[in-house]
Amino acid sequence: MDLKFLLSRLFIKEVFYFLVCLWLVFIVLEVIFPNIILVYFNINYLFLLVFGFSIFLLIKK
Amino acid sequence: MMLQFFKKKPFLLKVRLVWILLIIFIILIFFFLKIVPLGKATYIKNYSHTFKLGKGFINNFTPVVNVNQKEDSSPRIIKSPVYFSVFTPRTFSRAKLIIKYRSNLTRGAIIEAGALVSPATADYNLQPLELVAPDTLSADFNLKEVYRSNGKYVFTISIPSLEIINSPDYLEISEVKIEFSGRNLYQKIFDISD
Repeated sequence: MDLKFLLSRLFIKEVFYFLVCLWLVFIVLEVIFPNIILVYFNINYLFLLVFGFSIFLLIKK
Repeated sequence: MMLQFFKKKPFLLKVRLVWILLIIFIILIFFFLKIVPLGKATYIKNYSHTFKLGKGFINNFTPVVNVNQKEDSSPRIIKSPVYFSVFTPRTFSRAKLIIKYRSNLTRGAIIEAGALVSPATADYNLQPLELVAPDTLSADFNLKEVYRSNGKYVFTISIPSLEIINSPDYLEISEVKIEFSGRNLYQKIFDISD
């Protein structure tokens, strides 16, 4: 993977998809098994990351 | 349509496979942490660490009037008793409570700890904490009879000398550590008692 690809919109979009999927998986796991994620990791940090990436992608469009 | 898209960009298919596998791996890690297959888990709350990634297993001391807790400092137990709950992802049969502290108590003061057995009668199986190392107290609990609600065990710390009104004494807690042990996955599946 070269640096050009890592900084490309395509790669950032893939990272965004990964983070959104991970966020949804965490929410579903948290609903099924309460506190399974929250005791280790605050999902809001992930949401902030998703939010940041989404803003970045909107600006880059 | 999807296949055509990936035929145009084969590298993207690899990238997607990698992150899907990564998500599955992360899910498996959390299931491993939930099941505790080896039957032993240790949960620590260190009050000197200010940044926390998650909310942790050990909750704060209550009632708040019995604890003097300023920001960025260890809690000081100024009145007795205090309670705290511990979330566990599964049930355990034994627990070892280890408390690291800085004491400003009169010499020979008794410090007891207990786990909630019956919430209806507020029955705690209190036992004196044993000094295992300098400024470190410890006690063992049998959790088979202990009450567990919403995945939480409730513990108490009782210091009879702090029950005196306007006592200047306090007990500063720097770390609470609980070592849980119970049946491992093999014993659970084949219903073997530990």
